[in-house]
Amino acid sequence: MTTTQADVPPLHHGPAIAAPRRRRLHISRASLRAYAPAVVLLALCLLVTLANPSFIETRNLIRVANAAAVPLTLAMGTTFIILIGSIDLSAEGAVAVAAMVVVLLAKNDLNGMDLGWGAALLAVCAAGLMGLISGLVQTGLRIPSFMATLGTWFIGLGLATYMLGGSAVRLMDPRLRFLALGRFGGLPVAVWVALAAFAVAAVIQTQTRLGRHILALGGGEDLAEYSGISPARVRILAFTLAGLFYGVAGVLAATQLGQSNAVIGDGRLFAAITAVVVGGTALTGGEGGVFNTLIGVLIVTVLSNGMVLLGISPYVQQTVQGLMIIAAVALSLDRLRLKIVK
Amino acid sequence: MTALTARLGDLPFRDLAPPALLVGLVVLVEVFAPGFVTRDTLLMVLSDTAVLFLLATAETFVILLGGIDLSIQAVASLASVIVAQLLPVIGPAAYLVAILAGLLSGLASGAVHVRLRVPSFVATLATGGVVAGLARGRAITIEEGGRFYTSWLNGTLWGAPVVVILSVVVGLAGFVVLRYTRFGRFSVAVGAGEPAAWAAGVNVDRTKITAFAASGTLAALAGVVLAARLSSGSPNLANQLMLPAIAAVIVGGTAITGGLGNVGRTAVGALIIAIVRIGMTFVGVNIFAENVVFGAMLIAAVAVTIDRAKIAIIK
Amino acid sequence: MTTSDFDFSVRPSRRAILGGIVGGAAALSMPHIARAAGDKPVLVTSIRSLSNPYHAIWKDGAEAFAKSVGAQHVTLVSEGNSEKGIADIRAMLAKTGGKMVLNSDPNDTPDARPIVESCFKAGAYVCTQWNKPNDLHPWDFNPYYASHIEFDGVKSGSAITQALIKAMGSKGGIVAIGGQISNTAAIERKRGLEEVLKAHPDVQLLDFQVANWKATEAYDLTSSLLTRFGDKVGGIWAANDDMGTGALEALRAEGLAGKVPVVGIDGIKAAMDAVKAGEYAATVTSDPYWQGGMGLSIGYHAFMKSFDPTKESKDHREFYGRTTTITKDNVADYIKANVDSKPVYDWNDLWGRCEGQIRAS
Repeated sequence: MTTTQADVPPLHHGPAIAAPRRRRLHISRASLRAYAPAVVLLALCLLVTLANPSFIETRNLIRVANAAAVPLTLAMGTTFIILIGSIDLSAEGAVAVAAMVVVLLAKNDLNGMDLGWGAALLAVCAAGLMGLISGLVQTGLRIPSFMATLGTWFIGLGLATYMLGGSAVRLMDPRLRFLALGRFGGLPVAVWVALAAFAVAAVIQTQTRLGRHILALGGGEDLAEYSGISPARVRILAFTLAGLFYGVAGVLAATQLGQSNAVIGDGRLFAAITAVVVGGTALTGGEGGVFNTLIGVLIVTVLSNGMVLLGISPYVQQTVQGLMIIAAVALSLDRLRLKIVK
Repeated sequence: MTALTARLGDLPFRDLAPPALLVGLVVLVEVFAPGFVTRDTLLMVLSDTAVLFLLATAETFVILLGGIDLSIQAVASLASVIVAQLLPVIGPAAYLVAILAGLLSGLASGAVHVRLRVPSFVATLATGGVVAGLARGRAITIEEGGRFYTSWLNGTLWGAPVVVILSVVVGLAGFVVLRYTRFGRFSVAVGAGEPAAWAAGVNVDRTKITAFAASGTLAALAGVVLAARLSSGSPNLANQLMLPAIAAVIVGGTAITGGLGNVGRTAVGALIIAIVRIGMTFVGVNIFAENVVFGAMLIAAVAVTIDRAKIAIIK
Repeated sequence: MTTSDFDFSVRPSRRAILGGIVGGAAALSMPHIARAAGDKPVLVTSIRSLSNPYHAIWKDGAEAFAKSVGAQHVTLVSEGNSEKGIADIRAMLAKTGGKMVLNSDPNDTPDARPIVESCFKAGAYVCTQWNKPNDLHPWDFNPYYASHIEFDGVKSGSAITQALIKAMGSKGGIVAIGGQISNTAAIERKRGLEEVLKAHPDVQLLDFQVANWKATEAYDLTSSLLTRFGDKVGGIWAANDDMGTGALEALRAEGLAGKVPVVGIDGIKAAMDAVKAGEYAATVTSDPYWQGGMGLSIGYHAFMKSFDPTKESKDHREFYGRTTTITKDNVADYIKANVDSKPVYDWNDLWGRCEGQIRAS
């Protein structure tokens, strides 16, 4: 977390107007503040464990990891987009398209296709292509990412509905089902895939030029442009990258459920953005990163797992979740760095 | 394409792009499905746009500041539940209670956003969740006795549906507030550049909270209209209306980053969305293609309407 | 081509038709044979979306009926948006000038009233299914509101509960996954569960949670519930098959598929396959293929005056349709007749599946 912020200090140029009034809210030292989301996560785990000790059992921790696999992969993509200061609403559409492609091209109960891993690869590529289109459309037509991706969301959803003919098609390929059902070192393979996605995202963010440019763009697009970065190019690459992550998430979701229908992505978009923000990444861009998102995804997953473990009535779960998320963000946001909260 | 749109952006008729697109779409639908442009059908389109427009106006206040309000559909649904529950008990005062509830939840969103400094996206998503939790329960029908109080909203006045007149009144009020009051000017200033607005002495916090309160109030009003139109209240009544409302604001040409836009643009945006959607039914677009066409139309519409000359960085 | 213009041009011709075939028996025995296609109404199906198998089959049934009478058929989807669903129906009414027959599965209970009122005003025949407010009755909108069909949720909920308890050997713990809290069907199915449980003291309801009808939510929920209750989970009750199959996949990931029986409602293909594989104890189907065709057929026959809705008894105007419980015993036959081939129904048998008038509550 600290390394990502250390990369960009010169690019943060907002005057510190709001900060002085808020200072009394922060008792801890600035260096500790960066770890605030992790502290919130630990506190949450502690709280749930006290109420129901079976939370801490290995079996349950594995289940939490499994439940976090798809959201984590998805949120990796979302993180890069939010780091630029843009927003990507196409996640659910891209997940639906990827799940549709993998199911229709692998062994299924609708047609005679049987491409195996090739189907998974093509599914990821299809979602990546959607991301590329989102990027090209918004930079080419110069329209806000919000609208470009809202459009591609609908288009993706429509394509998935059309191709599946409205039905839920079952995935019968045992090699692909192995992603969800197989285990390696005690963990479901899906968790390893998600961890690999996380590792790739971390390398891209910290070790590549694209990663640095994404942060620079979010820190201040005009400044980034003066220093020779092409915002359009970075934007197109970032949206393509996000699409690829959505594609992996879509494949994982299809293998977990053993089927695909067009609504397989339902509800995942806002969950992913919430996780990113809870982790401490700023929606205005330039602050935070994939490490924050890992914590954010875990906070959100532990929260929903914990509510079931605590036996909280479904009638109040939504309210509790809303309040907890406000609390988590309020506690973990590094407001000294975020001069402007939008 | 970029060069062309950039050149168009310099021309003075740029402000006319959204209304021109609207007229163009109406003509397009009429060409493909003759019989669309009749008084009755157009009035029907207008009254079916009313709720979307009210929600989009609510959203305009917040987007103008550079924020976003994701709680509007939960607030509208809550308002419908309150109306349905209280109308048989306290009569038309139920409307006031419902709208007051909207005002309160707007204030709550604003307070969480400003005081706790939680980004509006998450603050309103969370308050929306809390509000939706409050409205839990099954759909409540407004029975015969209560419908006595809602029938006027579904009727017509001087030949125009009451909901359309109501939308026009709210639209005009919103337009005047945002253009001619101090609050309106402050809103634009905050949206255009928060640090500069602060430096110039604008009370940013108060402006923001006011905007969220206005948004909550209008969302509740939309919920009241929905309750009257559907003769009931339900925690899911306004489902799936939030994104179209935000889309309406942006299609109208208001910048999602804030600082540029007004309610007039939102009205045109809401009508464009409504015409595209109802037009697809009229023209008979294949049901499987509907989402694809809608998505493509959204992109095309915003590409035409957005005013690139006035938005420095498009995020 | 306003609504009222069209009414004037159409109504006399319909009256003429009526004159031609007076008498209910004659009308039923020789319906609409030598009539030009232009006299036929546009058949309109209004459903939630095409992205779920239930409504996709519904649409197949609707198209099969439309083909059988040679009428034009249009499908509208609300995508879960009540306003869109109603606006689309109004647009179709305006487009056809009211010369249409609507079979609607309203997105939410409240939607039924504006839908019915709009059809009534335009002079279009309408049949609703599943959702309507309790104080909205077909006989208050004579003759246009032909019928309302529901399926007894209490009965379906208890049927699967009984099958589940049987599969569990009449003892152990059940975790239940409900649908959207505010939904009438979800509430009724839960009531069916509770009623059966009262008669089985050896079976405990460990917890009731909701997954909003979604497979993905049920998947995550099930794994959390497994942690909380561990080996105490003897069976999983789901209010629909999407959630049931989601729960089943979560069990599979833990190596528990086939060991912990699951039940659901809707009779989607994945659930029937699971019944066949012995992983699913039972599912109940309301036969969406029949719903899609018959809802239109009732409205169509009312439109063509082959029967007079106003003369039908209340248990034909507002009735529970027949459901089929699918277990290991009948699953192979059911799949053969309904999935591997398209079922062939007599669409003129309007009331063959009536199982009594809908309860007042």
